Amino acid sequence: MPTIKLQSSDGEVFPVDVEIAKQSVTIKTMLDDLGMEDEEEEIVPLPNVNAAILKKVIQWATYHKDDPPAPEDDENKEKRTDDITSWDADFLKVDQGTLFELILASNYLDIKGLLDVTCKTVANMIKGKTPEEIRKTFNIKNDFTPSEEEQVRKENEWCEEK
Amino acid sequence: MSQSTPNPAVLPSLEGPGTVPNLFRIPHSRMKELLQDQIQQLKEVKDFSTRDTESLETLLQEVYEAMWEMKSHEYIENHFIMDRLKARLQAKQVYNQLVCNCHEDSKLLGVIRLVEKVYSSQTEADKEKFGKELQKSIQEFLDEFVHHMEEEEAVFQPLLSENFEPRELVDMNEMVLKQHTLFRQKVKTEKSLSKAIKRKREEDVYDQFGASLEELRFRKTYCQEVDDFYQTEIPCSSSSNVPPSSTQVKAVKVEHTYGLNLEQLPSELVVAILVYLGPKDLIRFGQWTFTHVEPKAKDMVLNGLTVSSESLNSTTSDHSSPGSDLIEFSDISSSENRILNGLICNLLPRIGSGVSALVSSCSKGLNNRHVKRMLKNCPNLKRLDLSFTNVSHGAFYGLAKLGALRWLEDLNLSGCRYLNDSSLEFLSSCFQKRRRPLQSRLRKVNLSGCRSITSYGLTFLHAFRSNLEELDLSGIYKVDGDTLSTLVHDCTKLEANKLAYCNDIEDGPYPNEASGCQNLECSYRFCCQQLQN
Repeated sequence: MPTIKLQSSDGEVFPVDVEIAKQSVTIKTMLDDLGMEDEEEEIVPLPNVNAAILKKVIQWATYHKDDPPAPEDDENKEKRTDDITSWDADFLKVDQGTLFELILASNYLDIKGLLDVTCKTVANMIKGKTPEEIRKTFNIKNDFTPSEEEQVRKENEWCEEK
Repeated sequence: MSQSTPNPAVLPSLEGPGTVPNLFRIPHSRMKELLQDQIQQLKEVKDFSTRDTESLETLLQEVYEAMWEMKSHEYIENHFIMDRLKARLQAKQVYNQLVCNCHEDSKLLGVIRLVEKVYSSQTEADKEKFGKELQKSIQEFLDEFVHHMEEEEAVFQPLLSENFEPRELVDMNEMVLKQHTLFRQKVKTEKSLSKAIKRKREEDVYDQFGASLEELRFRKTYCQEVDDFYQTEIPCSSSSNVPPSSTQVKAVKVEHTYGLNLEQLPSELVVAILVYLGPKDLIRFGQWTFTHVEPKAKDMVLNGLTVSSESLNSTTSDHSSPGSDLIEFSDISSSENRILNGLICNLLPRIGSGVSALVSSCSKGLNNRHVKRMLKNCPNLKRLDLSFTNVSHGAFYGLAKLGALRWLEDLNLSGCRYLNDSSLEFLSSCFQKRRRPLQSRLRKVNLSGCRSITSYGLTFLHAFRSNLEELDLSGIYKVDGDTLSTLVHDCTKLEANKLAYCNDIEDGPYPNEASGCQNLECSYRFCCQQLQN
């Protein structure tokens, strides 16, 4: 099985099976367009992904290498978040910083499956929470003055109605 | 390693309170010290083969540690300064070539490898050969490194001051210095040349040394080593400044405080998350968050946010009367209306620029002011579906000035019975600038069942001519064949079979190829046949 070497932003190099790497549309396009596949020693630099995150991405892609291609988004279909597989759920038991890094990386590398599942995971962290809880969960600073805060709370009181 | 150097973390800060700390100053002065000290000594070695083994090994060990400390420095700068700067700039939608390209380096590992080679050389000839190579590569590395440090202070420090609050910079500075202390300790305890060489020899007896070294690096990356370092118990030494337990605690804390934040994600990725939420969660989310995110560049469009009728209706128990006013919503007990208000007031101003699709089909609570504010806040919209709502010309009046709808590709206004000629006039003015037409991107326009539209209204559709491929005018019976033919003739990309218009119109374009009225059998979109029955 041919491999390519992926180089993270901090200079670490990871040899990866080409078929696994091609789950990234960005890498696939690069290989297809530039015909880089032929050259054994080619290193693909990924300046937006650090080694720790790249390692996670490779781990995910390796597990999902035999998945069928993701279906096109049906705009009319309701978006579910309760269909995360247990392997993915375990895989994404990471700190928030890593989770957001994975979202950025999967967007940059264009790996739809990983982007979907990471976004779903964050959505699940928001679902059913009050604004205050959301703020705490994501460590978002509150820059309202107390009176502004009261006003916003009032305006949205109905949200909390049963 | 020089013991006289004070611990960088406890160096007195020269910056007074209130001034912005220079994040690079203290670490760089330490790096320069390393350069002048150990590395300078190595450069002065004249003859590697004749120098006595012990003093050469001591020197090599010192250089080895110094290089690893520089590698740590690089890692800390990347992780704790540049990554945060990148994320911040990304959140602000500023693209900076310098920031993106920096630290793609480096020759550092090459130098480290050569130190190992010299150390492990068996013959005098090899020692001499690799020694000279080492001196050469170290010189190349230094030239780059010194330039690199100057660049950081000149380019990145101002960027940091510009993009971070002074308080944030003080925190970051403290973190950077702390990390340097930790890493120095790690380098000292772990980076022993003799051990490294021994380990490698044990691992591959049969392999040639040079090749195996590369393998080893792949197997365990430096960052991984660092992570492991935090995980594993550090042998407790009394001289250590930082007790192991607190190291671990700090490492965990670092992640929490300094990791990438939700607020730093670009807005199209925030939208990618929000599409999974229902209206209620969306509003709760919008209530407190994203007060810092600035609107992003105009041409960045991507994911879609769908406020679909189903999700609205699922929480709607009673429908408000059409035309209800935004300000009066508290008097109207319509949860649909309030959901729309919540979305429009709290959420769209913050994430609107990342929204590319708005679907609000069949919404009874939707009024003109809602639509106008939505369109104002979503300048990058590609798809707009307001079918079967009560919108009228008021929704589109003045939109042109707001720069709305410029990127629209798909417009569905079917079944909007209040839509009239003025609505089309206001809509079309979005595609003009000082009376000069802008290229419209509209490919699909559906006005089926908008019975009030007349020939006069159709003349405004010329504004959409450049890319129009599909046009549904079923049920618009007050138009004449000539006006329609002129319009269709002007839309060069419009295909005959993707054009639908009222069967009663005589002399219309493509009499045989065009589709007839789509509403003959349809009970909810208007058709002129309903008038006759």
